[in-house]
Amino acid sequence: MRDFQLLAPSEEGEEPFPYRRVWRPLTIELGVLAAAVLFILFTTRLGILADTYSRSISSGLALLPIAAYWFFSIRRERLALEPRQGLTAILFLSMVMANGVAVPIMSELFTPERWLPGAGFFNRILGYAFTIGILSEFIKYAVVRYTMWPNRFRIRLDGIAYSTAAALGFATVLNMRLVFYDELTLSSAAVNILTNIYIHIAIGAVIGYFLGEFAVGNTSAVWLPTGLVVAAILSGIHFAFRGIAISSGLGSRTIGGLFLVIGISAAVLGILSFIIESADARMADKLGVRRIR
Amino acid sequence: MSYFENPKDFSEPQVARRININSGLAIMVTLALMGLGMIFRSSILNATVPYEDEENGIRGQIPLNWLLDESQQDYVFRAENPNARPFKTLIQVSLLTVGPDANPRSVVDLLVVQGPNRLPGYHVQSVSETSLGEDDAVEIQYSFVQSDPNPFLQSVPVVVQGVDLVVLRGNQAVILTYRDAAENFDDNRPYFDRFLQTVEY
Repeated sequence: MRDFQLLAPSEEGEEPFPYRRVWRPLTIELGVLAAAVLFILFTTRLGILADTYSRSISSGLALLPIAAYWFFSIRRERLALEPRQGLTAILFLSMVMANGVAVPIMSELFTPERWLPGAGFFNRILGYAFTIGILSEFIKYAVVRYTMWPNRFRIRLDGIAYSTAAALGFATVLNMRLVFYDELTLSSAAVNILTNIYIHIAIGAVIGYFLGEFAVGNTSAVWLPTGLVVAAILSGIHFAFRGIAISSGLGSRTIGGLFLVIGISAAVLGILSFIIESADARMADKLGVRRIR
Repeated sequence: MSYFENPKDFSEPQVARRININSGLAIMVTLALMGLGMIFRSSILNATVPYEDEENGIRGQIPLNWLLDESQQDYVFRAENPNARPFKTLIQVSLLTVGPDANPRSVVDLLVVQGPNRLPGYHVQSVSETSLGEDDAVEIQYSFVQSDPNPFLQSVPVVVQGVDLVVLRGNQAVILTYRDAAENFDDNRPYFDRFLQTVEY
């Protein structure tokens, strides 16, 4: 007697999201860095770690964001159905551009430390925005625009993904220079490393948003220049407020700068997330397609 | 059409044109803003405020936002850049009463002799004849070592480079001084040169 098995009718499952998520790994990566920095701040405050210059620990901390990025983003990218190509290339290209172009121009031509710290609040905003702000953002923009854009851009979030790689490379170069040339104490290096990573990723995401929208949506003829100006002004605003946040009478409180950069980054990334989500929803409605989330 | 396919066709002439305009404008805006930034930088770095001391008859333009000190007896005024590191860039004017036979060179010789007592590690690098406006002047360049007087601050001594420019005014020698950390001396020298262009004594 033959056995017959009944085949269960196949269920129509949820179609998987074919791309690697962007916001969640980014949040985790930023959280890992924040945890490491808080650990250093507490241990140095409690006297467990000596708050002196330590090249090895500071270098490790400066490279931690790249390690976290590799673990949570690059590695996961390979598991996605439609992986993004060239993220590592963008990261290294941005590092080369930062070290070869941005740093020499900042330190030899703009020299902001000579004229901006003593300037008034609005002068500081414009001064930083029109020098190191616009230069930094243009380099991140150019690295993505002239390599991956538009062929690798399929959804708006691709802009955030690629700009994060560019911003991370840029900020890591600044952090390594900070470790090797400025010889800061451990706690001070930790705060500065976090500040560089957070602010460059947050403002780089603005560039990423403008590139993503330009690739997918309907934009005006001045869309990209507008994005660059907005990013540069945001950068200037951060530098100007940072001067206020870390000054406390005759002394300084680095923790003020830490709260400021975390607040600005959270606000910028939160707003961008909302805008992209809304734009995606509107486009899905317009095209009459179902969104996979 | 699938949602995941980018609906935009980049080969469309209208889209391609818009991309070219955007890309070109992005470069132009960046260059324009950086140009504005450099103009802005120059205007802040070169901004000055008038200084006038009627009692001692000294007048000139000193850099904006520098700290002015007139409280000491051994100089007319001292202006320092509070943001400069590792040494606060300094412009100073002092007066020295001299005899009727004095000349700028003899005043410089006196400064050279007194230098090691006033400044640790004092070392004369050059003495040269020059002029300030229509007056003869002698310029002495020197270096010394500046240590922080606070023993609780762990700081490395700074090598400072200085210039004293000496001109005579009746029975007084006017000594115009510029000092800065050796690494920043040449970069910040234009502050002193601009002051010399405007000083009246």
